[in-house]
Amino acid sequence: MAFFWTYNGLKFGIKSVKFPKENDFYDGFISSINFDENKCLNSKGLANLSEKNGDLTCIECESVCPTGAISLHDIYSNSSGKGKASRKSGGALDTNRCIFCGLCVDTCSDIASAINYGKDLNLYTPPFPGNDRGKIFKRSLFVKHIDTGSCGACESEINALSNPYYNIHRLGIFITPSPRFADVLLVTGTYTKEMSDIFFNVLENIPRPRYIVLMGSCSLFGGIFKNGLKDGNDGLLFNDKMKKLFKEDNVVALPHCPPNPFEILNVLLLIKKGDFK
Amino acid sequence: MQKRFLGDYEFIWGPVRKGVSESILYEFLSSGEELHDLNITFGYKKRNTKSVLAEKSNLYEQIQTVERISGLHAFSASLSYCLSAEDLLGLKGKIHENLQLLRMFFAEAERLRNHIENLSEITEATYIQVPSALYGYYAEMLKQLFLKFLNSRYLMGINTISGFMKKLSLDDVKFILGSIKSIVCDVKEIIRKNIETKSHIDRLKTTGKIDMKAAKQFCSKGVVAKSAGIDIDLRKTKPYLLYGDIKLKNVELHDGDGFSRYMVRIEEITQSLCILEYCMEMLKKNKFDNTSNYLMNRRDLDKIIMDSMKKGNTRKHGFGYVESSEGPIFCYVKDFDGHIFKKINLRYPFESNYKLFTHGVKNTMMMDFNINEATYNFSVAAVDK
Repeated sequence: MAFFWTYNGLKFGIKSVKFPKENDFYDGFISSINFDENKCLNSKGLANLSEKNGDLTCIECESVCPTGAISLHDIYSNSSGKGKASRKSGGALDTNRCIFCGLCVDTCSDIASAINYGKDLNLYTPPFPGNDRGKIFKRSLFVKHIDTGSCGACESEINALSNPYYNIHRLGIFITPSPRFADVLLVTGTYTKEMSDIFFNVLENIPRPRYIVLMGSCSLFGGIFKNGLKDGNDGLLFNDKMKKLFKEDNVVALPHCPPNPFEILNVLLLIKKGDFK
Repeated sequence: MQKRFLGDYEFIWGPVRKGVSESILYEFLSSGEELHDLNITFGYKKRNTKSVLAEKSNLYEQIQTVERISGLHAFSASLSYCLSAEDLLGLKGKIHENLQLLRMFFAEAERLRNHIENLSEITEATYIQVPSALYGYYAEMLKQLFLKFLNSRYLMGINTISGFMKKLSLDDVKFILGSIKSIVCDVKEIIRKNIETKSHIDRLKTTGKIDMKAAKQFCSKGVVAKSAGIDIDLRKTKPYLLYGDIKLKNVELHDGDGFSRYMVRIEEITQSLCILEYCMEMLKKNKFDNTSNYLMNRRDLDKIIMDSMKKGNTRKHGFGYVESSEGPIFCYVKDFDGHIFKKINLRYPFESNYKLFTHGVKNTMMMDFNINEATYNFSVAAVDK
């Protein structure tokens, strides 16, 4: 029977993507949301200005965003007077806060089509300057996963990396059961109160040099579960305990809810190669 | 936990376990080979969902949150929320037939994806790696298909109250059905070969056996209940949407072991494909063209709600349910303040199934624990709300 399945496996052929050698993404692949300032009604300074909107023509995308990832007021200022919105530097979309729900795209598609889906994989926040960002792992990369309160979709996407389509093993990346052998800690979930001690316990057992990848909006800032309550759901990006780690360790922030397997793979490969820009 | 036999010892596993798994704590009492007792501790991922939902500022945000309680059941959960909201707002009988068919279509598509993904997990637990990888590949194909047409691999952001959120034409739905048919055809071929794999079947048969009495005692639901001979399926017993118009075949096995749970999933894959074909047929018959008539933006929804409130059609509370891939998801909403529901109670099937799991794995082999866990397939996130 072993031969039977080996034969069937071989007959199935190679189904893995060529990524990262080629960006051979599948049909319909999307990984980012792009904001085209030229198409935005605020940029055009069209009519229908209202005092209520802080002199902006349209704030539909900002108002539908469930996590406050879009801030039009941050990029447009009304210093030049009504209707002539001048632009400050910086983007309208805070990628770290974006849960990729697509509400802004759906809303804007009926108005100006200024917000669209894209295929940009480099949406991660790289480790802070000054940290060791060169090639620190010589060969294979071992990843330890910890769930601090996720919905299960992030776990499903990490598991998907092992299927024949992505096949991370061909790239020398493996999931390890023990933190002692790990090079990377992959964190998912909202960072609940109950998991805080356990998280730092696991982290202590990972030898340096190491990387910490905060995967998904939940682990960054709590995602859709962020609330005004005192306990938990705040993620790790703005956590007080993490401030020290940001100086000592290489922390990478990977947004979206959940991040696409290609996005996860991209970050793991950058860690392996030491190629963060 | 009391030691029952000489040589029994206790050990814990979790909350951080091997591989990629959700946080849960297992306490075992074992003699080494046989598992004599199991305690499960939840609570490590508690996200205070009820209070989070009560703090949201509009219904769209509540839907987004409900979808992310358990990501693998996002569509079913949001659908049960929408049905309960429509019940409260007095919109229950006003939903267009085509919209109901589309909801049925994607609920069944989600079931198919979850079952194929679970077949991969079960096969991996029996150490048959090639078919496990093949199932995983086809589950991935389904996710890619969803991303292409709905911009979400987990069918998030599609449902809304009395409407639809994505632009889809009849040709798109036809393409989706065609692709699903081809995927299911390939999956069935793997299933056929896998059933002939003796070591795979031997490992599943008699593993984690439960009887009908225990299944009833623990109020088991979904696949687990069906495998023990209890034919409870809300699509048949209490039809919602247009399920009442379809004559669904009974999916019921009587052994209550891992193999029965495996077979229930396989039978449900065939059943779901028939429902998808029925939906397509009906959409054609109803001259469905595209979803533009059902797209619901904020102003339209606000208007519908205001009209309903003015006419006094609203009720004090609303109730909705959906039969997901693992069993029924119930949603109860009340206290509508004009913007959001202040009280939302969601109940997933895993909340009763995990108790049966604790009971069912007693006196089984420790080596079979992985198989049992995979065949029950409970989402920790749905229990740890």
